[in-house]
Amino acid sequence: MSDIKKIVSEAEVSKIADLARLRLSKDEIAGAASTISQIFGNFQTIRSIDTTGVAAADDVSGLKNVTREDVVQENMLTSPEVLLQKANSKNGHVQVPGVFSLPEIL
Amino acid sequence: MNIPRTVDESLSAIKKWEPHIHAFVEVFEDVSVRQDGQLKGLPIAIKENIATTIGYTNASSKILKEYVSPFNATVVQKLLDAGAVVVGKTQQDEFGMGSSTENNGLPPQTKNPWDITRVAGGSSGGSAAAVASGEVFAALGTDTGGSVRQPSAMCGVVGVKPTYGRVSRHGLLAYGSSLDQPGVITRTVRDSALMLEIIAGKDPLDATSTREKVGAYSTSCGQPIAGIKIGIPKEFFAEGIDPEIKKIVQEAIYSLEEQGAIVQEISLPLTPAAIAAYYLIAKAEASSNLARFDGLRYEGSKTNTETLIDYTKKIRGEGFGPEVKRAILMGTYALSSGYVEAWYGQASRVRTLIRKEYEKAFHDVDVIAGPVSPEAAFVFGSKSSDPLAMYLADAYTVPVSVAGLPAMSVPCGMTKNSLPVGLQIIAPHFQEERMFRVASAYEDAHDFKNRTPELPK
Repeated sequence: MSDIKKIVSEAEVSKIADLARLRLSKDEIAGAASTISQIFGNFQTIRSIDTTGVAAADDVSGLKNVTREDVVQENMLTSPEVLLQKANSKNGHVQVPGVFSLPEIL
Repeated sequence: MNIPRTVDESLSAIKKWEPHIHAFVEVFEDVSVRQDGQLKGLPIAIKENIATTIGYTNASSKILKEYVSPFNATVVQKLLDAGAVVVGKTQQDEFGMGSSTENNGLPPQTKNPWDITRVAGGSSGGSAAAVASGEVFAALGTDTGGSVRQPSAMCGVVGVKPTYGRVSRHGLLAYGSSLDQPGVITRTVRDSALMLEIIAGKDPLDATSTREKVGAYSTSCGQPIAGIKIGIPKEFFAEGIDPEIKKIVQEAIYSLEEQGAIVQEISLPLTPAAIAAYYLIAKAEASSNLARFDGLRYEGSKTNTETLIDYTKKIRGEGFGPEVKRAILMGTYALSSGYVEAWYGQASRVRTLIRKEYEKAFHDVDVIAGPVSPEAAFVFGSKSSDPLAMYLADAYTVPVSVAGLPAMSVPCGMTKNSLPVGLQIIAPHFQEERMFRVASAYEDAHDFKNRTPELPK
């Protein structure tokens, strides 16, 4: 188990959660570290498959450069009622908390 | 066959069944009756993660609880244009992540109409249960790694996952964008063929939908299968499958020899690797797709936080359920600098190998057949504490998704416990006609479409 534990540590889960903008409790972090390590431990089998010279499957549909015709679209959903829904809004814009915390002096 | 064909029949079945199975999140009782179009007012249900202007579209997630879509998904609009009536939205695993509909982020808990102590499968469990109980004529689901086929198998109905690109994804709340496809669930193979004909085709609003000609699925049904070569992958019957399921599915496939089909064993050695490849790709894409949910527009939370980033973290931490958070963490990890080549990159290259393996197999056979799920519907809670066990049970549906192939589940028997078993039929890209031909041949030779669950006491 100690080997498996090493795949994703609690510190790593904490860092990933931060990157993914998820606030997790201590219990959630511990649980995730153990479950994800177990899952990735099982998934390690694919790392032994020889993929030398194999291209990644980035083009699932086989389509390239799909564009629409350059014509004006009618009935676009652009009204504030549609876009704001239940948002806290002001003057037709979404109202959000500050991006930075403000120093006392302001 | 108690398949409802009018809104009245549907609503009265819903009244009887819903207290027992909770297939629906919302039922629309005051919809208008229609008699126009190809579908002439047939009552249908739509999964919660497919946009409808009627009711909510929340993918069973708290983070989108009261979201009302200002537009219909292309698949929904096409069905409405054809004369269908939407009578409700069905329950699912949150954002499609799960195989039992136990990961629903919002109540109620969907139960299997054949045995209410068991799950309906997932993630389109509500849609499959609604069709199985005779509450609706048909339902739409979404299939990322088996989410239409597996609940259809567990509920004893027909479920179709089309070729990736065959049906528009516009209006689907995305899980894994290179894997997601809307699918149809009905009681009979012919009804599925009809539904797919209506929803298939190029959509300017989905760049990954293709111009590939829509097939004549309905007329493929009932055509003879003499001479058709059916491959049975031995890896689909290896360790891990319930011996009872193995026997029922093998007998079902060999029974097609009576109609002149040629059944031969084939090998798809990468089958066990498909689970890791699938989950790494699906979770990576999910972590990216779900990054857009910040709780600012649809929730209107009064949460007081000092900064925007704290607000986002709090809303997401509270709004997503455990499996969705796990998906975001796994996906972010698999894509993070230093790990991306070893995990996501490798999964994507293995995906290419899996696609080639199927292409090669289809040089020798016309369709591939096997089980949908290694087991019948299981008891609530028996797997929900073990995510890995839940993933491993998707062994026969995810390879098909990774390869982007069309596949369907057809009822092919009952276990000793009176639980339905599904037969999976897989076809090459855009060869859905072949799949319907074999599925209808099987259905016509057996009586499973007339078997229906009894209303629980």
